[in-house]
Amino acid sequence: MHEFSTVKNIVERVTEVAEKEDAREILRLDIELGELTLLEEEQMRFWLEVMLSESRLGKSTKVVLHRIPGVIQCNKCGYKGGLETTNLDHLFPILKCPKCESFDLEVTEGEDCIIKSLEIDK
Amino acid sequence: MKIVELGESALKKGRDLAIENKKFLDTKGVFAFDVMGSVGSGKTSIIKWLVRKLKGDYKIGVIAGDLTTEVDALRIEEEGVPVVQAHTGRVCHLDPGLVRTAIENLPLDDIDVLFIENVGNLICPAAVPIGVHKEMVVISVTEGPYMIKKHPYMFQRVDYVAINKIDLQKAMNVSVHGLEEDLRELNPNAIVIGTNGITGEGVDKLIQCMSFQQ
Repeated sequence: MHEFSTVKNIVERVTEVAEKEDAREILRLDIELGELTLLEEEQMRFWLEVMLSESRLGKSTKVVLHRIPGVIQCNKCGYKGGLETTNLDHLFPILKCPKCESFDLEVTEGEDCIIKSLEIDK
Repeated sequence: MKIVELGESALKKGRDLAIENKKFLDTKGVFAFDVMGSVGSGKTSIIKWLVRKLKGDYKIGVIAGDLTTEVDALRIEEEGVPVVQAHTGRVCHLDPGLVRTAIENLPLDDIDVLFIENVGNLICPAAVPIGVHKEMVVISVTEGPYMIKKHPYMFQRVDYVAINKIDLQKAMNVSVHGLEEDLRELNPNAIVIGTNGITGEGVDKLIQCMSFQQ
């Protein structure tokens, strides 16, 4: 459900940019979706398609979502890289160093949702 | 046809607003808690106890987040401290804009400690920072034995966990100890206290473990 407010921001922003460019239509929208956000890919796609279709310039926009894996830097052992899921049957990675099991770490990638680019018809 | 490269974060606006809220609270000398948890876990009851036990030592304020009713705000008002109701309408979490409006409606010069009760939900509030100093989750044994396991995102960065309704452990066949073990898999640093929102049991212990300034 929280995807709704993020998508609302995205659609407002890309509409604003497209209008400034005097676009007739937004043909394609590329979004980077961090795996450590709580934004679910299918929900994002659903809301983007619904809200774009109801916007003036997004009636036939192709939505392309790029999944960005989470990357951490461990403050204890220096490991830098991806995360592992745990034995708790989670699809969601746990913020724990896969090398030394420390919880003392910084997330360096995968915690954001980036409006990468839009393709417009002028 | 033209490609416009943007490279802009869709989350930055909200995150920046949350940072501004925290800075604003700092300038006013207010230390804030985001109190999260499922519907019916006992967030309001625990806040009432915290207010009751802390109001002699601190000037307390409360923001009660809810969809449309004022039930929680009215319950907390009984404790005689300033309360502002933040209505989210149909939205399942507080956001930093709503919180800012609510903060500005509180007599901040007369508040040292602010409790912000989020909307009952163990998922969305974890994704939306509102700009506080510490986060607390109130869960209850009546939610079953898997609540922590099922919600790693909520629990992995939280500061305090109150496991409420401890008097029902036996009836529910759910133990505080088991829930705490699950939490340690995700977050070894969180402080965990068993509480009873009816009698106030455990609340003194919780207060002893809490910090109220930076």
